[in-house]
Amino acid sequence: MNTAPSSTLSSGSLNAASSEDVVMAAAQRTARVAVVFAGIVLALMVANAVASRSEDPAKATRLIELQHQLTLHPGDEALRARVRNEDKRVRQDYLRHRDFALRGAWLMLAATVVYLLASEVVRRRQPQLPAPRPDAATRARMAAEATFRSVVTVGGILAGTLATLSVLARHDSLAEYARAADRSPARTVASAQSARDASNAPAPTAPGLPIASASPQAAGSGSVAQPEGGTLSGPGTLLVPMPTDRGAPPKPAAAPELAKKPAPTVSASLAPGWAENWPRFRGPEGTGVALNRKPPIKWDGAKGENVLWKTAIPLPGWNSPIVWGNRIFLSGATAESREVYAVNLDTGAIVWRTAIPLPAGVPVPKVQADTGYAPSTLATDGARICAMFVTGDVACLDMNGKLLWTRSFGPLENPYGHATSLVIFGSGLILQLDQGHGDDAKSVLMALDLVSGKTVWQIKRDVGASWSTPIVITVNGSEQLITTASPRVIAYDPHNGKEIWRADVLGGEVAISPVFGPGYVLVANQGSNSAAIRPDSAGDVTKTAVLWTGGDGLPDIASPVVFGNRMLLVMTEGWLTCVDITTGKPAWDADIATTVRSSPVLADGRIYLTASDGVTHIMEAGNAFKLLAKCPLGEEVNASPAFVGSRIIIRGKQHLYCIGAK
Amino acid sequence: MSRTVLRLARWTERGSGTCRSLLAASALWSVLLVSGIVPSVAWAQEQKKQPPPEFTSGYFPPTPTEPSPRADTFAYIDVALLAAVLVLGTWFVFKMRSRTGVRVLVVFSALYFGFYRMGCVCSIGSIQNVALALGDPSYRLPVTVGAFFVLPLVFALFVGRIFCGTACPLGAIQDLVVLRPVQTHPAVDHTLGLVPYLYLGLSALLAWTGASFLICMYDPFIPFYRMGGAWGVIAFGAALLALGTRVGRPYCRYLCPYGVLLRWASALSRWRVRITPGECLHCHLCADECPFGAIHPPTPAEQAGGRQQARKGLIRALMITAALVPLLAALGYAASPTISRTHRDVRLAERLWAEERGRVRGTTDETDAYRQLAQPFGIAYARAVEVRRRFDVGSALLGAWAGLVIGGKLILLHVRRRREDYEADRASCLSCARCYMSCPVEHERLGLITLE
Repeated sequence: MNTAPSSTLSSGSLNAASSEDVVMAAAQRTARVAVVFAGIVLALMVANAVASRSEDPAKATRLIELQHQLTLHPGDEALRARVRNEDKRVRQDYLRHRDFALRGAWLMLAATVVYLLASEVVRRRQPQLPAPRPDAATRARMAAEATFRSVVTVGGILAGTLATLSVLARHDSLAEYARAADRSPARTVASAQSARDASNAPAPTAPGLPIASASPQAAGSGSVAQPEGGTLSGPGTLLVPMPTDRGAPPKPAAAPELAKKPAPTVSASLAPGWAENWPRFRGPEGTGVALNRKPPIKWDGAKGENVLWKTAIPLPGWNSPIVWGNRIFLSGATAESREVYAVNLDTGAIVWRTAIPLPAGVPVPKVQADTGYAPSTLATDGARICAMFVTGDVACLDMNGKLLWTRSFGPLENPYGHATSLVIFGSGLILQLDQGHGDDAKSVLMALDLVSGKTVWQIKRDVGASWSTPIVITVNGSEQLITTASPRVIAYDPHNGKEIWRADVLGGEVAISPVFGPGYVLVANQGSNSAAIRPDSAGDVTKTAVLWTGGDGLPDIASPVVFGNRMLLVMTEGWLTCVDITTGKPAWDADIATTVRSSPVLADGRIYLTASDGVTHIMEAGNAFKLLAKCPLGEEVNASPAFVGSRIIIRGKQHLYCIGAK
Repeated sequence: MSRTVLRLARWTERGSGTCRSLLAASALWSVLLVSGIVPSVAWAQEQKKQPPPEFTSGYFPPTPTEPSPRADTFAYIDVALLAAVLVLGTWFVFKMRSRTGVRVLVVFSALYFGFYRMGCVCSIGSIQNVALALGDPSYRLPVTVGAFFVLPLVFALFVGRIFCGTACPLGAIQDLVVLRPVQTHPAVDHTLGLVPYLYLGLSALLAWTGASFLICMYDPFIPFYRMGGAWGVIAFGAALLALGTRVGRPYCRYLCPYGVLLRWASALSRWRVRITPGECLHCHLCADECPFGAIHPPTPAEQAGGRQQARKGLIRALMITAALVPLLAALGYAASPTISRTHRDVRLAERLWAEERGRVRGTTDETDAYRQLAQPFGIAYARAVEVRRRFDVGSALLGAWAGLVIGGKLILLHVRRRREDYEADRASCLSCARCYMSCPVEHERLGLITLE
């Protein structure tokens, strides 16, 4: 009787213990199985990830190869179908792999939950008894010692990390730049600032308009530097003859003094503030693109609406205004006299005007009225201003109008008069002196040292007279000076004048300056072609790097402007043609029925095109012609406007206008 | 290293077979979790980056549109809700002594500030806005961001880190995964506790110089709230959450830069969490319950020679500090060129310089884009030089700051504080209200038990 309950109890306890063991074992096994399962899933997911990597649609080599083949044979329908099938297959594979990865992730998550539950069951059924611990004081002391050691270790690790970073800092490009800037005053921020300060200097205190004379006596502050032995009497004085083989690219010629080692080069630096100002013809890069400007879209010169000021310019000239700081610079000339002007951007007052003397014994050429005696736009680097006149005379002034040096390269053999504008590249002034017919070896390209006026390098060009202005572009980290003339586009290294590539795509009387689009040099000229040239080759690239040539809407005076993958060509008669740069085909065209000689400017997503009657046509820079506004000035305009900040500077036949929201 | 392995082996020998297997499984599990799930989810997120088919199919992708900015009213509602949560949190922690109430607020914060507001604006990130406003006069600190920065600090000055315990969405997500916390060794706690100070210095430097908002970029939990993000950050967040099941709130304790400011404010707080409503029984239950190691036991009786030993240690710490601050400041200054490469302008200028001189082949997207801007390289160089100058100053200050932090920790180790009872550390306590119900005196107050 007594044993039965005991037996029952014992049996119950055993059963309970057995049940506990079973649950415990099951939980342990479940946890292990979950881990093993997750491991298998992980292995499969890794394999899936590796396999998927080779089938990334963005990197599918076979698909890319087929696509490349299709660009070469666009009419091959079978090839097109293969590309489509391959594209579909790659995408399906990619999506399959991705779905597999997601399913794997869910399985891993499920295994996580199972594992956590199982391990929790195990933990609850196997409680751990607390182990005896040292006394509180000992524990505190041991903890403090361990903390001290580990904190000191952290300090050491941190010092080691910083030391490693210091070692990694030994290749410090910015320090190199700063050192180079110290050597070249024009590069430093400080010197640029002082140049800006100089440009913002108050006007001379003399009553009326001060005229800085070119003569040392009148200038009253030292002599005008005349470069020693550097004056070119004409291109014919170059000692290195042109190659006789007309088919091959001419080898760069060097003057005797340039043959000495090391060869002089032009520094590549540009003064800070270059992009914000309007330092040369058609803006900072010479492409008619006005970045970060907010020009007005409405004005009326006759009514004075949004005309901030209007100033009469004493001597005529078709050159375009340039701007640096709060000074506008431009020139004017007649057969008898020549002047350079600085105008206050804020007030319109002529701050100074400097007369440029005519060199003795050099006859003034006869020029056409629409060329004038001062057609070349000035250039500045923020510390100096350079001007050129139709006579071939170059003058360099400081920002206060003091004449620093002059050079004379005339007379230039040019049927309409030399009109190419000046380009400053780093420490050099680039002159494109094209003349003659191309086969008479008279054209020359040269760089003058901005400080001294001495020739840094010069090279002959086998092209005829031109009126275009070169631009400087950067290709794969190297600058190229792009020139256009008849019959070719030639790229030079602006540092030393070495020819890089040439393409015979032009003809006629080339007055259109090149522009640079999305990866292509873009040129056009009436009587020949428009063309897109890839600038990353060398030698004669006429047959290898010309993407397309076209014949629609070829301009003859106004240079094009690029926006997105579009190039706008403007004919003098007012016919606009927008070309797709990728194909060379016209995207749209329009007729504004007016004479246009000024070049268009892209600003704030709009194109500003000023016609000769003074009306500026503002268009949307888009995929279709959309005229936004027409703003009259009330005066004839042939110069290209300058855009600074929220203002537009327009040079009329007699006046200079500043347009801006009042 | 071998000593560590030996210790680990001895420790595992003491445990049962089940414990060993669980330990091994946990380690393996962490690896599996991080290496398996996270990259898969991240990869799935990348599907939008695949290029569209190149063939014309009659389908034209919709024109991208910019969503209109969020109305200011909602920003002020955010501030009002933050203030409300802080007030309610104070009420629950100090007056009601209710862990349940705190739990409700934690869930609300995770849902509203986390999932609904997607973690932005947050007080932690607002440090960077404040630093940027100090460094860049053209940047105007939004009023609501300023409020998110100031409000928790003001509350901390009076009632401690109520923000951490109730309103912080990053704290909330960690609070929800605290399953079986363990007490970390004081040495680990102190050492890892230095990281937030260093992180604060670095993130403030980068924001002050305009380089980046480091805290936001590497916020480990935002990808969870936003259901997507960089796979590395997701992995980091997942690892922290996995760790957080055993080590309470690892981000708050060992990373959060805003926590540094809250620590300072909370250390001066007018009121603090009082664990027991009556007399402390020294039962240690509250310290065991606190998952954040924020409850300190009574200080043991001073041993013979302890005072002299402490003085020696203090002198040693002061000497180390005196050497460490200028050393790290100098090293920070020397490392400035490398640190400054975190700024995009510096990277761009250096790359342009290298390309210009033929030191590298090809171009990058950034340099291509810069060339498309038609700006001369000199502009980029001059801008980078200006940035570098700021980094020269900032990096030296960062080094000095690191030296001060480490030195300060060494000094504080030797400053003796007296505690008679178990006390919540003013600076470390996150006001989570967990400890209340572990106290037998609290049980007695509630009438649940009777103490003899």
